[in-house]
Amino acid sequence: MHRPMTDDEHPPQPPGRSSSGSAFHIQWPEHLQELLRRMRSAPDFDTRNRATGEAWVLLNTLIVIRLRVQATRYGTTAQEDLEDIAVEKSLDLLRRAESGEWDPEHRAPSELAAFLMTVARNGLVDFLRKSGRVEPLAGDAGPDEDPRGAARAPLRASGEGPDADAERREFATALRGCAETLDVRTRMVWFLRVFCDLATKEIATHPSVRLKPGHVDVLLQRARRQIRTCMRRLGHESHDLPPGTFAEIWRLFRADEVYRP
Amino acid sequence: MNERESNFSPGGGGGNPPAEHLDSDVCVDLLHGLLDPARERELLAHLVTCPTCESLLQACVASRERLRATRSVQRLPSGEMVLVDAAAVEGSTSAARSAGQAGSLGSVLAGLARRPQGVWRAVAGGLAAAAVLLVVYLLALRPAPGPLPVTPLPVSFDAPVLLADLPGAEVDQLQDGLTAYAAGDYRRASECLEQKAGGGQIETYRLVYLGSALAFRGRYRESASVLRALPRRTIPNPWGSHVAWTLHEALRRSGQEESADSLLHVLAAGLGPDGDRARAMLDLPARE
Repeated sequence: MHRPMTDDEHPPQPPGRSSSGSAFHIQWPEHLQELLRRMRSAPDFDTRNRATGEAWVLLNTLIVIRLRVQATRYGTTAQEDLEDIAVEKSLDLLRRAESGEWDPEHRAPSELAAFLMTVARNGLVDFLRKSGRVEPLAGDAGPDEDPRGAARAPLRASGEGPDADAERREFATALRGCAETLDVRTRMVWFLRVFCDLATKEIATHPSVRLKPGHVDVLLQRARRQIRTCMRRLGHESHDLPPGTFAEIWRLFRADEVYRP
Repeated sequence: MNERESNFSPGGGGGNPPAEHLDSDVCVDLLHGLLDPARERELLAHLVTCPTCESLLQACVASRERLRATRSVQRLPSGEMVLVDAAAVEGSTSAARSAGQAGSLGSVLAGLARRPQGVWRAVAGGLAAAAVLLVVYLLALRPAPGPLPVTPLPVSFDAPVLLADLPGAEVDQLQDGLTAYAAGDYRRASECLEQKAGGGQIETYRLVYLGSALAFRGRYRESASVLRALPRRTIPNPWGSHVAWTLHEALRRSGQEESADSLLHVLAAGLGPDGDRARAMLDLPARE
């Protein structure tokens, strides 16, 4: 259960409802079905290959989110382990989808969501069994459990008053402005390190970067220096990233051509 | 079907109180660009003010980007799906290359020299030396690759308009590179174009000419490396087409036959003159 929030904390429309108050329809199930259709029956190899890759990334995200829910029930599991489980499970699902063993075509979104939760739970239980720890901490996690509890802790507690909120927003907007002065690839490198915590080697092999690790380090150093100078000029010391910063920066990345979901 | 399922609204619809936080499934939609722009703006505005939702999105983004950076699923020509580790690909390509080079000649010589004893050893040594000479001779006889079957790109001096926002030194460098390219001085062109020029379109522009100049200089591996990183499908013609065919040649001439063939099949699946040309090269029937 989430704590009630005040209007100050949530000035924009709550995200679960449209401005008319009606509920959103989740889009990913339909998108997944479409990708799997393309994966199975597109006439050319390239389209099938691309659809396979996209479906795999989407399934992975869905399973990782559900694994985080389950992990809260079964004790601490390293993030890397959860990601490894998701990699294995999503590939397995893709293979099963292709062979016809799993056919999500006419499944309701809720059924797909519940099925993926079961896949995640089984994957985690198998993993824990192999590593010799399988006892759930508190009952069994149902498919409706919200994964936020397992998500990264908030950067800083909210509720310090409107002044603090305004200050944070100003910081985030300034940082966004400074990040905009970096060229697209350098900005991507900086984003992947600062906000996604990727290692240099990982950044180097990222499809939007593709550079030698040494070059990545040079770009990172340059980006940091440039951002620091820019933020100082605007009167900010970028030691700490207050809440709201990631969302502001991510908005910027949505606009970048190089960042394709 | 439970209430959440029947409504499936973010935040738990179906009789629950209105959502206060971003639902993880909406987060997936947002992350994968599946929402309409108005809805996306609305959610992003909420995220800026809500650390809990922001941290959920951040965790999802980080996880997905790590995945994209480290692994991918690819199909083999046989249709089989395989998990590809990005780091392993980098390492194995060079390892396989050196193993292949050392293996072919090395195994022939080893085969010749392994068994014989005494006088035969000397004969075998002579044969091995002759084999080396023969290989060197055959390599020397191998015809040099002909001229690239692509015409140099026109140099559009719309470029100065695009260059207007770049610092002076970068404009000069880029301008020199393009001028050298137009004059057919590909060495000078590639040297000038090596230097990064801002970002966005102008950077793509620079890399297209750099990759092309490197190919015309015969530096195929470097050319392929530059050109394959470009978003080819989003580059308009004649540049897009030039990138495709120059990359194909560069891959082929640098010994990356499989990649060249794969690209050719991709082109053959497309429409227009590039598709026709690729299909002709593959002896495939023309499209109606």
